[in-house]
Amino acid sequence: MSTAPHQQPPRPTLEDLLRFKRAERPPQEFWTEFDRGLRQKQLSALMKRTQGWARLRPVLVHGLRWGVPATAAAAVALVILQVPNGSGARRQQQAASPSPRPLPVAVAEQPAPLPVVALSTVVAQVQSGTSTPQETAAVVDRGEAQTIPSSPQLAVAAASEHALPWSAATLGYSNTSDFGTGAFHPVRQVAHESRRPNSSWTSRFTEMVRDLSAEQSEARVLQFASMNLNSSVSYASASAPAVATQLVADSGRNSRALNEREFRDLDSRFGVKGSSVSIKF
Amino acid sequence: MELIKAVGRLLVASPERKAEADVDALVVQEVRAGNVAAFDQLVLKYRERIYSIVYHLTSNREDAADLTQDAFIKAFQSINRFGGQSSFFTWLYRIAVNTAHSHLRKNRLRTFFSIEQAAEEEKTPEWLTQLAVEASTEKEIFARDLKQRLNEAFQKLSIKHRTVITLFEIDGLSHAEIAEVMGSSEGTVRSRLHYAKLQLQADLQDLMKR
Repeated sequence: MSTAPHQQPPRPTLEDLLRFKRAERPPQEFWTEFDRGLRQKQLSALMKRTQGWARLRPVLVHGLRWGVPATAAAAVALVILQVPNGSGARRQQQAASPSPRPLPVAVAEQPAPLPVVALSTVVAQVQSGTSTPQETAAVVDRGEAQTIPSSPQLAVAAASEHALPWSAATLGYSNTSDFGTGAFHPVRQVAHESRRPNSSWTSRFTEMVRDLSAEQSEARVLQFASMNLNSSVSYASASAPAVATQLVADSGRNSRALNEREFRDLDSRFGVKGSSVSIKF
Repeated sequence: MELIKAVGRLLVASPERKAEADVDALVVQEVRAGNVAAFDQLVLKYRERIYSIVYHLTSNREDAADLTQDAFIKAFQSINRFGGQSSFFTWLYRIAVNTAHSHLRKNRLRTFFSIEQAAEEEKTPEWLTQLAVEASTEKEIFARDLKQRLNEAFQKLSIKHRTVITLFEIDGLSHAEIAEVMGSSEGTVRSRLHYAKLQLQADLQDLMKR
């Protein structure tokens, strides 16, 4: 059997070429030089590292020497500023707290009129026979028979269930004499409570003046203080209708503005609102 | 995603690799403890493989030697930052590949020169001159020519394709290991590998037709 003279060698594949490339290796002397160069580079890298640290060290030390205390002082100052002091917090609380609920004032109300049955009408009914005397008595007993108030102030005071006995609107009841029997009447109660000794008024008044808030104007305080206590009481009682009128007029303007420049002392029965004065009997 | 990759590494890694990784971890601990001489063990163990990768990326022995030394210096300096998430071998490969990539990006216009040309220069190392002298027979001339052609074909590939085919064909890494070194997915590695082989076949067609 004879071989082909021109037999083609096998074609190398890509894998063969890559395998040939993989077999490529440097000689042993190469690695001797490699190790020597690597050692030199390690030493130079260590030298650079040491020098770099040596340069940074004084900067860091200096920074730590002054930086840490300065930072601590700044932190302490910040804490001190952030923590609110006692008085400041208290003031804020007072400002934030709602103003005390104002006391209801009868003069400020315009209540719905109650069914007022005039006594004269009742009498006329009895006389005409439209109602029996018993019915009339029952009407009177229930207190429905009332005198027609001589002034609007009385109607306000009588109609309001929430009227305080010492409200200024009741000042004009000193001359009323027509009362229903057996029923609560604010005028009667006011008249009853007016019989208090006036010796306590001096002390109460003194306390009131002392406790007046700083917002009260000095003029008003001086004006009130200059008034003789007795004269102020007699003034109030004598000119009660006028004062009451004034107060009613004021109520129309400042119906519920009780939180403005108002002082009311329950014990001393004196009240100051705006330019008006109220006295409790 | 990181958990999936870690599990994949465990499944793909061969027993030899696992044993190798365990031994390397012990040596790394010694180096961290202060035993600097222990790092020489790692240098001796991996210097040929790292040099091979860097050489086939750069196709220049002198540059490959310098870059391999730089890679080991960087690994030594940052040994404390080695967290152990991957094996030391993968971590070292990553440093070497990145170092080579940085060098290639800086020297894009530079082309490789043959051993014979290097021997003519005055500052070439002695071993290179001796290598050029040894390549005198026909067989060696043919081998030298073949190496040159292969290097040229490799240089025509992009850096990423060159890296993938070097790690797979020259160093024998798996797809998963290559993906871990390059920080990409296995699918990307496969596609790049396929494209790189097609390119090399096209460039070396005349060699395969002879």
